[in-house]
Amino acid sequence: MPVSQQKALMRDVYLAIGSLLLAGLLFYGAMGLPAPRFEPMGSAALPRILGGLIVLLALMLLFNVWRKLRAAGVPISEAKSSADVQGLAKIRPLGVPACLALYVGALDFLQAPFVISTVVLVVVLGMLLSKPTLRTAIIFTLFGVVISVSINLVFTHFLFVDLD
Amino acid sequence: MTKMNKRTLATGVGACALLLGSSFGLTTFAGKTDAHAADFPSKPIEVVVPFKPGGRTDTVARLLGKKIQEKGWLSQPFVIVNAAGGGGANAVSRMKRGDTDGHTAVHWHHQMLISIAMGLGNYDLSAFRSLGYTGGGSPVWAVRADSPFNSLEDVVNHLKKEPRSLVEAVGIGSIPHFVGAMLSKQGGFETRYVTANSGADRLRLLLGGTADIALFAASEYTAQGKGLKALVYFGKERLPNLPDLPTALELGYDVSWANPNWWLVPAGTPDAEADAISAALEKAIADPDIIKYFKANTLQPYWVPGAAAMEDAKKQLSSLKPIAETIN
Amino acid sequence: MWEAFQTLFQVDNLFFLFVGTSVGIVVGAIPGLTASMLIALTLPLTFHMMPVNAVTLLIGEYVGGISGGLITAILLRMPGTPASIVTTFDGYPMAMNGQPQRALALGIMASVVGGIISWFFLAGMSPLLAKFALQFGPWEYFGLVMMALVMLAALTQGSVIKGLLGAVLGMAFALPGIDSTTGRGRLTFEIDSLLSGFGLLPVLIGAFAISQILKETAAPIAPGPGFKLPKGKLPVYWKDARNHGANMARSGVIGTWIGLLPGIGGNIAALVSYTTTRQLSKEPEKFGSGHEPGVVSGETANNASIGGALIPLITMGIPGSVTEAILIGALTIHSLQPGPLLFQNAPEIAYGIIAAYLVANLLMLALMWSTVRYIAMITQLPRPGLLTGILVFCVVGSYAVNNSYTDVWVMLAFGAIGLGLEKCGVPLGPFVIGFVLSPICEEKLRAALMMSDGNVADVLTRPYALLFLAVALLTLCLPLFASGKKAGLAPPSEEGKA
Repeated sequence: MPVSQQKALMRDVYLAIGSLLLAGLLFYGAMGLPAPRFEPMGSAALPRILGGLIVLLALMLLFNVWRKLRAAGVPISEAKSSADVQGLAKIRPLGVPACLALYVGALDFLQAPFVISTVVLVVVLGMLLSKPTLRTAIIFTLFGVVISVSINLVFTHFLFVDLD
Repeated sequence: MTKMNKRTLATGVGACALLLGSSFGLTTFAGKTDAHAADFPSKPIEVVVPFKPGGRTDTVARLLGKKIQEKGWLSQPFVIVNAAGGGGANAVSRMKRGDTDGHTAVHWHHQMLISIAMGLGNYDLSAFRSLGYTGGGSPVWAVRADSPFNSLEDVVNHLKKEPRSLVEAVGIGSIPHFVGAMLSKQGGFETRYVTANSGADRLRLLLGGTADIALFAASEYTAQGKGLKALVYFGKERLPNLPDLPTALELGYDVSWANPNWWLVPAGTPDAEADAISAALEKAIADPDIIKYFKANTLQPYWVPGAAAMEDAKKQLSSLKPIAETIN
Repeated sequence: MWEAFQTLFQVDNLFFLFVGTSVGIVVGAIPGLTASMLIALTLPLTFHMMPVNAVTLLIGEYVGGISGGLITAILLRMPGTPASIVTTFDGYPMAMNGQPQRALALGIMASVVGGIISWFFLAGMSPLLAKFALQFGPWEYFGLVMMALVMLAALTQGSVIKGLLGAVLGMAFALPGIDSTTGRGRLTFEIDSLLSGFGLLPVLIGAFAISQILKETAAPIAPGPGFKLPKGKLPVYWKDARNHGANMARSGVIGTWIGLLPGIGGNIAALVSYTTTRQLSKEPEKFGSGHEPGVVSGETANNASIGGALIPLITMGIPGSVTEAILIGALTIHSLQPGPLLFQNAPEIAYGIIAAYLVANLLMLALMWSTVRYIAMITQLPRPGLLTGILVFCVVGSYAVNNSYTDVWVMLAFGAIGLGLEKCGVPLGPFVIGFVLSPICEEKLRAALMMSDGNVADVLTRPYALLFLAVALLTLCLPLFASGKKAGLAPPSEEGKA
């Protein structure tokens, strides 16, 4: 069995496990719901139905994986990532979400000023996505200033949405 | 083109230019300037409205804010922030994010008491300081125009003869449900329910024949013209717009629901700032333009000061709690 | 009516209609900003305007906003508005196959035709249709939504199990929040911000835009698909009228009709007509891989749904969605109550809305047609700048819906969830549509049971509801019989297509 197919099967397993966890959460949440009062279904019916369906589908998925593995006769092993990406591209998959989370966190918890945080975000993302040179820094600073100032202007003074 | 027309156009042009982000110098409204610290307000006052834009609570807040700004009763404008959903929990958390120096306020109505009675969200009245009521409106109970019932008595008699034979459009845990439940408890009758979570839903279900009875704001009722027939009004006195419609109190039911426009600030806001906003609101609700708008929309313009409003709300809340318990 | 058009052609009204439509298109095209948000945010401005001006501005924004969504749906696979979700299914593959202009041109034509079809219904038979729509009670809504829900199964590509799993997971994420039938919290786990549930917009932006961006940034940044821009005419021909005419007519009627039912909305209209077209097609397997009728039916229906939604609004004062509720707000501030009396009290407004709707559609055509060549160039912008800009708009947009950072976190979370699901071969279409449909379906079923005292047999007295449920049953059973054998064996698809 080729590595790519092993990886795909592994992902199916993760998907099934994640789905089962979610179904568990649904069942747990449904336990605390009151009995039906105004109609026979009540609040808890749909969470239970959906939970049941998720369990069923997840088990079918696992069954398929098991069947394919048996057909191939190869034990599944943790697939090694083929590390042919280098430099910045390596940190992008985590770097971009991390930057976003930091940005929203700063706006939400620290109530950081919108314009400054946005410029910082745009510059960091821009360098991460293209090249970390002075030229990109300058271009993205300008870009960041333009979009954050115009968004801020339109929202605060004109649409009455306070972004800070 | 009239003069008024031209001015509107000019405002629109300026505004649209701004929207397109092309004109940076043109700011129509005073920005956040740090004026002298002693002067209140030193920046626009954020008014949180727990509903989507366009509804009554939102409209009244904007109207009063516009009037206060126009007359200069406060040196800074109101900025309306809509934080709908979660039975008001979103609006409360938005308020808690804001300042407690008078620059954050909430405009709500007695749906808040229902949320508290139902235990939605982790807040109660102690989280707020009341600024006062700026008028309010009461709802009507209506049936379709071609319905055989011509009075509340007809409906009650019918329901006593054949219990649960009529369908009432309500959202469980919303004002129509609570008002209807207070009435049926007093009258000793019972209806069936069908879920309807907005005035539009109730209208649709009633006109379409799915429901037999529904509660409407008096203005929603009058806008329908001949399609509906109101049976009872839940105000304390008859509504001038509908002089022939009896109140529930007149008919011998101790049920009234005056849904006030309630202005609040977070608990802990100092007296001076709270009083400054209250004073501006009191002037606004006495303004002829505002009174005209209220009357046209079947709302009553009146002013109830902060402490008295809080007393009234507490009384109302205690009458809601037994009904909330029946939902469990 | 004629007078309404004359009023409309005054300079100020035309100006506001033009501004509204063009701003609507731009905002509709930006992922993260939608028509309803634009209308909500511009509402305060209309307080200072003449009522007719206000209405024309808002109608323009509405039409432009719904139409603009197709641009990014086709070019970037990020639906600019919820109503364009299905346009991503075939529009984006078309663009990837080197036909971005063809997809855009077809989408624009379809939008206009949809708008005009529904305008005829709006102008010609509003009172009749409104009365018909009113007969729909909870059972009928339940039947209709159930039908749409079952059609989801038909949308799944690759593994049927994963398609269904996607739909069911989407439905599960719609559960937290205040249960609209009991007024109490459900699955909120004592977290206050979960009381309002997960908003449609944050979920949609997250699942489509954010996950797409995360995916693109994880791979080495390509310079974009780099479409060529052929000189000369746009690729739409007279023979398209023959090829797509029937599809457009059908989708226009379906769109109008679903728009007519308050609370259903343009995204469902587009979905139902897309799946209907697919079911009726002789080559259903082509859908999802860049098949022209897919783009046409979705875009016809979502624009047609606006005209449909305006019918109960102006005849009864019943808003079909948040957007129309805001329109009502814009009128009430001028002491105008939409309802049966509007035609008597303010005919210039009632007919003005009808006239503005038609002209807005034509303006939209003119605007988009003349700029489509340049619009297509957004895919040639430097990728880092484009993606960064879209990210900022997504954050601002999902914040501005409700002035809440919770929504922004929800958006980020669904970006991660969407990416994960795609990696595992779970299609996002069924996920988002399941999320949209299941709350309506549940609410209506429970309302129906509440109304009939728990008596399921009550549905037998409801012919329309029975009809919908029968169609649902057929849709469910036929493909299962046909593909039942191979269903479980389908190979796990690799990351889907691009």
